[in-house]
Amino acid sequence: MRNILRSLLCIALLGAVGPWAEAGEPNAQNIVDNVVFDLSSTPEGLTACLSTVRGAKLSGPYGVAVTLSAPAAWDEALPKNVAVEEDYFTLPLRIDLKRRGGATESGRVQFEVGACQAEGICIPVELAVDTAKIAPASHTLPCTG
Amino acid sequence: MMANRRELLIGLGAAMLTGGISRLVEAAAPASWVLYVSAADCRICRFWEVDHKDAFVRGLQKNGIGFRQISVSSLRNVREDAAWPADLKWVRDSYPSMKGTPWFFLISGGAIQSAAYGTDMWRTKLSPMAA
Repeated sequence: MRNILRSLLCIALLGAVGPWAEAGEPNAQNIVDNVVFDLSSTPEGLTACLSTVRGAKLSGPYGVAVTLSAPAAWDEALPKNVAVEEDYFTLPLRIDLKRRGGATESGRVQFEVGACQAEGICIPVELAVDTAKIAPASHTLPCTG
Repeated sequence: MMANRRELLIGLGAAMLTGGISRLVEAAAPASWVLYVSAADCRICRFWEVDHKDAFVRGLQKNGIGFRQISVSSLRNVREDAAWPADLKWVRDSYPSMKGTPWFFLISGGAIQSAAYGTDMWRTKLSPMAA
């Protein structure tokens, strides 16, 4: 009986700790319609590393469009468009966004890509994130093929 | 009076001719047809067109089924108004959540009988109709 009570206590404790641990981790990776957006902040600005799962591909002619809600804070011609003539991008695809010197204001960054799914359909995929919530880059830089 | 009679005959002949032609057009237009919707920046659409379109259209024709195609300028907006002919807008309006390309619709009797979203669904749902 004591063992059963101890087990139940353990289960209850694990249940309580689980959500707390999840909430404490930075959520830098976003997956939308099989497109993986790995975002990290750097001293210079922001780095996005785009890849895919489940056989999806990113359309080269459609490109990647990046818009920022506070354009004055960024040393980029906006919207920033990256496109290639090839049918699909070589992945992972790294996009660096440079802040203006001294600019600290946050805002929204939005990415739009054309994702061609393994099922034989190409769809527009969008992701918008608050730049203040993007975690700093880890020591091992992402986006190496 | 003579001129009037001549004009009347010419008018009657023209009306008969026009009516006959329109009946001929109606007879030639298939009762069922497939509408294919692609986009200029849809690579999957291009591959499908190169690999499958001709054989599919031939197979449909053999079975008395027509084929129509529209191409929007970008898969960003498959609902692009300018790309949809007036007589096909009802198809688009039947699918308010339509997103991306390609799409295939089997239309018969003025109604959508089947819709395929992507080439995988085309293969299972519509490709057998061209066999």
